[in-house]
Amino acid sequence: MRPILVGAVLYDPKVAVIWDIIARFFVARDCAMDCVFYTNYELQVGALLENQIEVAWNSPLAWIDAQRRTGGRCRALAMRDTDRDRRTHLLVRADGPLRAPEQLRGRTVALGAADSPQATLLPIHELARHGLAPGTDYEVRRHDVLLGKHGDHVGGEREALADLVEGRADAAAVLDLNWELWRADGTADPSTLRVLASTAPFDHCNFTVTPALAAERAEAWAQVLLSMDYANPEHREMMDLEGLKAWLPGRTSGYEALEAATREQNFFAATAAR
Amino acid sequence: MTATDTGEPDGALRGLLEPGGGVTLVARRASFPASDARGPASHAERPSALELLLGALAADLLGGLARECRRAGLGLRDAELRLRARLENPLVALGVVGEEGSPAVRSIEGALHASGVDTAPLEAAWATVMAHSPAYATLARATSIRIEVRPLP
Repeated sequence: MRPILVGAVLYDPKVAVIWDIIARFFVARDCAMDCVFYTNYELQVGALLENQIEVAWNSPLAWIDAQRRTGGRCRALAMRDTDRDRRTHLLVRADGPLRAPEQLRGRTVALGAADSPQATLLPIHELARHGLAPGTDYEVRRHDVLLGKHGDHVGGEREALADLVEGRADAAAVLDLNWELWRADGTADPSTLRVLASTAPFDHCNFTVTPALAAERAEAWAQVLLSMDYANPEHREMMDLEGLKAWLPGRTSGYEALEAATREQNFFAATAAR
Repeated sequence: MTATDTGEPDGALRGLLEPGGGVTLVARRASFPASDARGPASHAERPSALELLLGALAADLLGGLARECRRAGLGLRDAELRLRARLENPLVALGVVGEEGSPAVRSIEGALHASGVDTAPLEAAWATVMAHSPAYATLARATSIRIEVRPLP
């Protein structure tokens, strides 16, 4: 049988190893799968919609783009447990005077890449809820590391954090998982920084399919994915590499804030115009 | 003087594709496994094509060093050559759609550790080896090769 072609955006050759291990897992369960790598999500979404691939491991922004371009006909097949209910924190210096997001008026906020949901689009959306517009009410220091990869690369967030620590910004937007990681590994000193505000929970990546993928083929593939068991040592390495303890069925209720953010910020029209 | 071209190859090898996508290489009376340049994790027991490229260089240089030292009466005891290659854009070698640039080898770096020979005669022998090595001469036309010579007591 023809293998199911799964698309993934790759920014580091090391990530290919994870996909190779996942593909082997599928092949060993009589579900042939092969990976096609893309340099950015725009190419990947285009390939999905042109049926060059059948499943796309999509960022939340790529999911919204695929839905937008198909009139909402895509389906989120599965996601990691760690993709659900993420938050972005707006960090400030612990000894500073800021106590509420509104106090960022007239200040400088460090953000990640322009197309990063967690490090740019959602924090701007959050500040808009507090009546603050970028460029008007606060200055933005943006870090466009690897544009097109939707903030997958943490470089933009790390640079934003450095802006805060080194005094070039009054606040920095960082994904909760990165904040936890960087507090633990010493990248950030938790005694000198604190969380000023957090976004509402949102969902991150998912495996996206279009109606072109036959339902039984999609379900067979999803069943193999969902059969990965963290308690099984043979599966654990693969799941640790991908940063999850369980694959879950896809849900689409966690993308509303990002959808709203793309509308407010006119994101797709602005991207098309560039 | 140049050698007469007899039409006979100076080296030959057969590559056989295996059902799982691996490759078996057959040369002389030996056969050994290999995989493509990407050398996926599922082929970890097989050297990748890129590693075999380094292997050809290492075999040529170390074998040549043994020969030169023997001819010069140098008491070479042990030698180890460690090599590392970097590609111009490894994502192109992985077939990443939309990546630009070349999958060519950008550089080869490494170090030769050898014992039993003093620095000056070792370096002289090494220079001769590199001048006579088809693998080195060919790769050096295409990429930067930098190998440090580190004599050991």
